[in-house]
Amino acid sequence: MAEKLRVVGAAVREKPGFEKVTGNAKYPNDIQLPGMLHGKLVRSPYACANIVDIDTSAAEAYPGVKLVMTYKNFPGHFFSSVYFVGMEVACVIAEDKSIAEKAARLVKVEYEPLPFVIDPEAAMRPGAPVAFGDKTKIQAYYKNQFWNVSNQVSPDNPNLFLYSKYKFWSDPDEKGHFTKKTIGQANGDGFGDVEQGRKESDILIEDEGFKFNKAHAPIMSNSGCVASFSDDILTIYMPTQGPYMSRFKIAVTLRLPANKIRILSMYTGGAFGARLGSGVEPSLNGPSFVTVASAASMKLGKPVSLFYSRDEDFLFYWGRGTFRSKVNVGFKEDGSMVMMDTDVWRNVSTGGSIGLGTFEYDATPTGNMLYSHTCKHNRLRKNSVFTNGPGYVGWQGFGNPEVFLPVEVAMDEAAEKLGIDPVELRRKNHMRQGDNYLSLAYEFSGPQFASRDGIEECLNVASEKVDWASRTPPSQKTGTLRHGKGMALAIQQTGGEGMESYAIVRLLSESS
Amino acid sequence: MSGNKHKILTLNVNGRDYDILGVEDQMTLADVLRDKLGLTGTKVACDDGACGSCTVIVDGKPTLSCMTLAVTMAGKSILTIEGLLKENTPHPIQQAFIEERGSACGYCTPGFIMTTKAFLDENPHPDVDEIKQALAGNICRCAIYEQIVKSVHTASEKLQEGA
Repeated sequence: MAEKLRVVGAAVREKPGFEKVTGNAKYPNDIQLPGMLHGKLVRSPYACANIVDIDTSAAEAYPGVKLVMTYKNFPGHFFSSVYFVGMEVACVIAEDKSIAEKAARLVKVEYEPLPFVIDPEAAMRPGAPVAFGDKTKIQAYYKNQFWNVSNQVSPDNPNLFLYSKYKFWSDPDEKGHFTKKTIGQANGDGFGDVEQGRKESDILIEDEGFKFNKAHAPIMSNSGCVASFSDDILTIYMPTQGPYMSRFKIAVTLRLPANKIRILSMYTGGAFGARLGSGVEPSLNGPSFVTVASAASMKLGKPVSLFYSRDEDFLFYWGRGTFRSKVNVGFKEDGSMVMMDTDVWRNVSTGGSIGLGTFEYDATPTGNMLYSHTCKHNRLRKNSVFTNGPGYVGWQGFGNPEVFLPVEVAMDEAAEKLGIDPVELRRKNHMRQGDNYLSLAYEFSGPQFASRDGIEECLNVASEKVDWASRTPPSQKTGTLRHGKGMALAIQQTGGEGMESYAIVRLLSESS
Repeated sequence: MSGNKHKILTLNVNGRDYDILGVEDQMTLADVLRDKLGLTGTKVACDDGACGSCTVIVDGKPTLSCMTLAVTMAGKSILTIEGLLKENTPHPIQQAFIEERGSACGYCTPGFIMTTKAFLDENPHPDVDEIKQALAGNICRCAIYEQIVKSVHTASEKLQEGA
């Protein structure tokens, strides 16, 4: 094969580059279809309340209004209870945006406010207000979906969610293979005995991490879509990171065959996790813009455009969510790890994108897996807490960076106490090829063995690049302004995490 | 509001006069470009004058179209991202953004390119600090500023070669 190849070895031109720089790229909110109607959502000012009544007569009488949707005429899309400030209670569909906005202000809602809870720590205390006041209605919605939430809420505290349906792998058998177990109290487990590990350790380090809530804020602010139902086919223009996942969920929610649904997600306008399966979730956080717009389009036979404003996106769409973690690590004097005990608390608010799915990912490939080489006593416990917020979703790291921080800070503290170089301490303890490591990932993932020891290589290359040998330890530094070098390990999409993908290659007869 | 339903607003966009019906007083230039003329290359991200995504060039000056009332634009010359493409050939600035990959999700890109156009018309030989200063009003959430600054630099070189 001496001849020069046209494609192999040549730089690939970024395909949509031309479209993006010329303004030709069509983002979902650029879509304009003939006869398209516009929607505006009416939102709750209360964090937790029952709706006594909704009066839509004034909005319906407003010139140009085509439809006002509430729990009365669209049950299953809207509910008679609200669980966070900004939860959707009605949607006005009108000829143009400004009519929809004006008419939305005419919808009169009478609320009966209920106690609410925002702080996850407070939600875990006995006697705390229950995040979902009237669960029966919301559970009915859940049951319409494919999740069954009723047996997953803790009998002791209704704000605690139990992952009883999930199984994980734990406690190695005599062959060293982990066995399949059910998570009882949403507390993952591990192997060995951490209390015993505490006794065996020469030094113990404890560290805590906290992440506050943040909005992803993609530059195309608008969460939303254009839904067009015509000739039995539902076409949805929406920004999503998971069109097939969305299609499946839309099919289930609207009871339409999946092959009658087309999802066109040409350009997302930035995502960062915020558009994961966006729009239609079997979560507790109320109606979704995709199913609402689709139901309106199916009712009216016209395309319907429904987008959030920037303000709505910031305030009422899910962000990363608060997260607390606590790490306890024990070492022998020679720096070998004896014990690691991690607890994490995820504030899931009212659910969020991909249901409560990031729960599986939280902390999965962090310290308990990464430093498992000599660690005999290993435990990871996950808790998720319901509060009255707009829900959460992963963000570039998916429940991992939240835990890497306290783990790596603990490693550095330990290195200093033990008088061992931080890179050496990591070198000594990191997972190696063939290690049978702790994985709490998926019910369907089997025993995990590290297949390749790339960590050593990473440490070597990174040390060389930053000239680690010339580093001055923090203890030898003085002055108010100090510069330094640090080293931390991180790993993702492993330990049972991971995504599948495939490609179809077609060779056509004229050789293209 | 209204009263203008049957009035015609004439705007000169990309060298062409458009007679536009039904422009309400409170409509912004961005609204009219996108909803009335279908020129959706001009993007609205913050709708608050904070991000620069909606930048167009009015009489040679970069202008935030989301903060500009359309009715004040009569008699002015408006250039949008669509006006840069000549017979399917990208403008050198657009070409530079393709080559240097100065666009990730691409939503902020038209705004960056229009800011760059107005800037390079005034200052054809900028240094890096001047480029950063000129782009300070544009936000890229994907944060590929490094590639964007490179793109502007490459664009200035391309324009010099062409001149």
